[in-house]
Amino acid sequence: MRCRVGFVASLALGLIGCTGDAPPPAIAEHDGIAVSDAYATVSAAPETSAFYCTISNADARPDTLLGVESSAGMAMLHSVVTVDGRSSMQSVPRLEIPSRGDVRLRPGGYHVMLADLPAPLRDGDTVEIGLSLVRAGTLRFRAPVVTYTDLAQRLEQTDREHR
Amino acid sequence: MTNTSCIPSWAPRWVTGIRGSRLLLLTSLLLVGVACRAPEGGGPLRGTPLGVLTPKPDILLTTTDGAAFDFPRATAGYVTLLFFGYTHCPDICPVHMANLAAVLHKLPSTVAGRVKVIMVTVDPERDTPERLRAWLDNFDRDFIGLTGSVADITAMQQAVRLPPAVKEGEGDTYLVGHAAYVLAFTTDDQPPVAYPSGTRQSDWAHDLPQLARRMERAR
Repeated sequence: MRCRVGFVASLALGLIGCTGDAPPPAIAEHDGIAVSDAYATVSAAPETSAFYCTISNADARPDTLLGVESSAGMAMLHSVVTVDGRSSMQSVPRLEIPSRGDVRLRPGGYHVMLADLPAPLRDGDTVEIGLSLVRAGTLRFRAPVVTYTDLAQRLEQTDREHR
Repeated sequence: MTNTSCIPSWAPRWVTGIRGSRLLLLTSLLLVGVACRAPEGGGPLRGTPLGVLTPKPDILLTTTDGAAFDFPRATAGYVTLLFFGYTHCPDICPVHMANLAAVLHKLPSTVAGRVKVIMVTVDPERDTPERLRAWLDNFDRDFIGLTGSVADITAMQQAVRLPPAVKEGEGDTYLVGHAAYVLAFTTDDQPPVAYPSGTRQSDWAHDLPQLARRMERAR
């Protein structure tokens, strides 16, 4: 419940802050923290989607992700935890971004669940995302909505690049 | 997925048999060993064969059209990919389905035409037949959706050696913890092959032709 209240409050603030302003950029970088490979997925079920990205930290100090906001639906940072062959999504209150390292949100691992969407996300839409970090503050950016198939192919590509 | 030891690091403990009896462990290693030594072209399977022969589940569920689905009979002669998931799942379930649909659309019909994809909902309370059908249609209209009573769905998971799904949380927004594997059934003399969350389209494109060839040889 606290999460939902926090989200509504931050969304309201975000909307007020955005009035008359240019939309946030497609990429975000601040104080050593950079966001790349940011995608939301189309809604397979009408009220549900997911968001993924890579958060890189070029700084010598670690940072901590405390929350995620979305212009669409309620955003919840989850991890997938598997015990005795059964996988569950668990809420992640804090996620450390290591110094001179990165954290990749990806299917089957850390991901942002977008729930209670007012309307399904479609291929070609964009959503505005805000990532709140302890040191770097809130990074706001736009993420394209892609199909799950495209997402999987893009991740396969980034896997090859990281190898 | 690199697969140097044949038992990948992601293999669940029930696959490696560490939690099971020593006999199961030995059987698993033996079967996995055979699968590794006798590749069917293109290298060993990237999925992990279960350690024991497991027949197709013989439990009557209902299709999204409301028809009774006689699982063994309806899938006879096909590589049968069985997955237990739910439509409120944002991550594991749609990624599995999207990857399968993308690969099946690219493979030649001689392979794709020998594959049936079946998703059984583990959330029959919210997944009405209509909702499950609409969800599957995002990926492929030929994917089969099954539902039934919680008792029958639980029995089917147990029949194929998966831990039954559990409801997590309260109210309308609960989640469901469930096995994240797609099980590939082929011929009766081969154990099903498990594909975890994280299986790539390239892994499916590698394995499905080999699995389809098993069906050809059995004809």
